[in-house]
Amino acid sequence: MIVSPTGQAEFDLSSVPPGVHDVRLLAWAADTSATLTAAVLPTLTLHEAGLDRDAEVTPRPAGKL
Amino acid sequence: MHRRALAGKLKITSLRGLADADQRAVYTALGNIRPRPSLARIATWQADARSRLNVAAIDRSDWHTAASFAVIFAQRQVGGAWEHRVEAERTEVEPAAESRQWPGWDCGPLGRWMLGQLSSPDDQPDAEASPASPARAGSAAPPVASAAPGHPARADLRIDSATLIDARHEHSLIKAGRVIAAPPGDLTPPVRLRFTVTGADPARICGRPCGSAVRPDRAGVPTTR
Repeated sequence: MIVSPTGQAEFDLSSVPPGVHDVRLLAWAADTSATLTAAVLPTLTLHEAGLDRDAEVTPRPAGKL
Repeated sequence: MHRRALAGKLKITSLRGLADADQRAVYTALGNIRPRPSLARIATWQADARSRLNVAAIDRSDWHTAASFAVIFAQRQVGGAWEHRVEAERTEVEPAAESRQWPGWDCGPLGRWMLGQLSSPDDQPDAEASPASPARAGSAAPPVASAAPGHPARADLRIDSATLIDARHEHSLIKAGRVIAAPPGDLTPPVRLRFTVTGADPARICGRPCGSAVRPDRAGVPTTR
């Protein structure tokens, strides 16, 4: 994803499978400086869309973002 | 135009180079410039360059402007809320510098960028390596390229903020480059991750989240940690 001129960007995490995720955010300059940075986000817990959280959940295998 | 012609044909890129140049050679090098500078005009430029070199040699103990900036704290209303940004531009440089922008009014990224624009005194071996800007001096001399224009690439790239947005709330996770809070455990889909990057030309920044599922939702599967 290319960051907007304001320096802001947004990802839709809808396709991320429900579960607990460790996430790193990567950003890099696509120029000759080739600068790279990363930030480790706090652990995210995503639930299935439209699911009653008190209901039983069928375990799913771990997946990649 | 003058600067390009002098740098290209005579390799004159400093005040010293201009001061010591052959007047006729400069006149010839600027033959395609319209209006073509006269020999008298070129002599004036050279005298001005020598004068400034002398001043610089005498006056180095005094305080000088290493860099100057115009900074604007801007705001606008979006959906009833104020949106802020900081705009900055380095002034008194030739050619004119492009302005930079950062979301929010946090001055951290701005400060780092401004420091990145500075060249330390050790980077300037003598006055001729960093001639004063002709525009600042109010001189009619042609702009001469500085041999030490600073370090525009020194500013660091940084993920300045990150916010999780679910169906009900916004949860700020990173602010001013630091993790400030853990997300709640009850994020309601759809969930989006918004972030801002500072420290480079935004038009040339790419980003993506990267990670792995530690464990499925509320399941007893062993974790990968």
